[in-house]
Amino acid sequence: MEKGAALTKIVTVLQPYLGATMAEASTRAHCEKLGIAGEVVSAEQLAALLTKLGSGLSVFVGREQSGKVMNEIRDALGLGRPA
Amino acid sequence: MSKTARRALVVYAFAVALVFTAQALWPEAAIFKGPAAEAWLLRLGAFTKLPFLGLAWYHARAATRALEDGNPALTPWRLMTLGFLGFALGQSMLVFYQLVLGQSPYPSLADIFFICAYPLLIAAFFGFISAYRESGYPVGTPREHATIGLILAAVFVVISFVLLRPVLAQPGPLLERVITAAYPFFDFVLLVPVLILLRITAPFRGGAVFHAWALVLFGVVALCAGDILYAYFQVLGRESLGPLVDATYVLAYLGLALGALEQRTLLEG
Repeated sequence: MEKGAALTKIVTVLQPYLGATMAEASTRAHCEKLGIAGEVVSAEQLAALLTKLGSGLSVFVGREQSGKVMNEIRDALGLGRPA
Repeated sequence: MSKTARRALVVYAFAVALVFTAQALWPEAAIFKGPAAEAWLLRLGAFTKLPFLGLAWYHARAATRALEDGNPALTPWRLMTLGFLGFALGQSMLVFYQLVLGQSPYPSLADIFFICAYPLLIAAFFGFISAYRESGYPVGTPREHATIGLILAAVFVVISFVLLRPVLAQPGPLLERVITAAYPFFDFVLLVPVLILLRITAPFRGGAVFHAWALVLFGVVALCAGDILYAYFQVLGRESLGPLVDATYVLAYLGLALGALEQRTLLEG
């Protein structure tokens, strides 16, 4: 998947909760930590990124809400939801 | 709570705050003079502050219950809920003294609840800083937060010294002077984590997390302002400006109530 498009979708879903600045900054920071570089991002890398973003978001909005937001992102990215 | 109900609360609180501000500015106006005026103003203040504090505690408790075990924000939420409960119980005691017994003793049992609430809130806000750093989001490093905290502490030590020395040096019973000084002292300590939290949440502007925190932090800052104004007016001998303190408390408790409600909405979805 093209990285720029995927990250835009992630930021769009996170924005109502985190605001534009933090949604972008946190996504970028986690990409760097996970070594997600280049123009393309794999499904495994996206799954790892969502795990990190979700666990951080749960501190602010609780695990249940965070899970819903992550599922919304998975739907936007066309990824399957975890069992 | 619907948006209309929230707006109504805001309008009501600002209207009450305006009444108290007007009383401070024009104490000689007919509407503010005489025992009848004193009685209705007392009731207006009591029946505005107490429900707001009750709402703050109720929604904070619900927000705490919505968090799962193991969430780093759970303990801070529990402490903040207890702090709000302390304020609500203190205000209940005050209402009982004023409306049932017809007196306003100071210090009183109400002060025990109010004073005990501060360490809980201080611990809660330091806990939130630590929890939010654990989120892994770019909210600042411990070093940055420590630097901000040290600078704020230095500033507040100087202000405390200037403000609290005359409070303690005033004539009157020692316990009364110590309690009058204790409120602003705890406020200055409380403002340190609160202002660090403001720094942490600022990059969340435009999001629901910021909206909820902005209201809580507004409430706490207004609460601190009310306590500090009270001590300052005592030092100046300007007790006639006391209604301004009431106005500040009404807005503070509104902020706490709406902030807790927004946090609850955020957590419950």
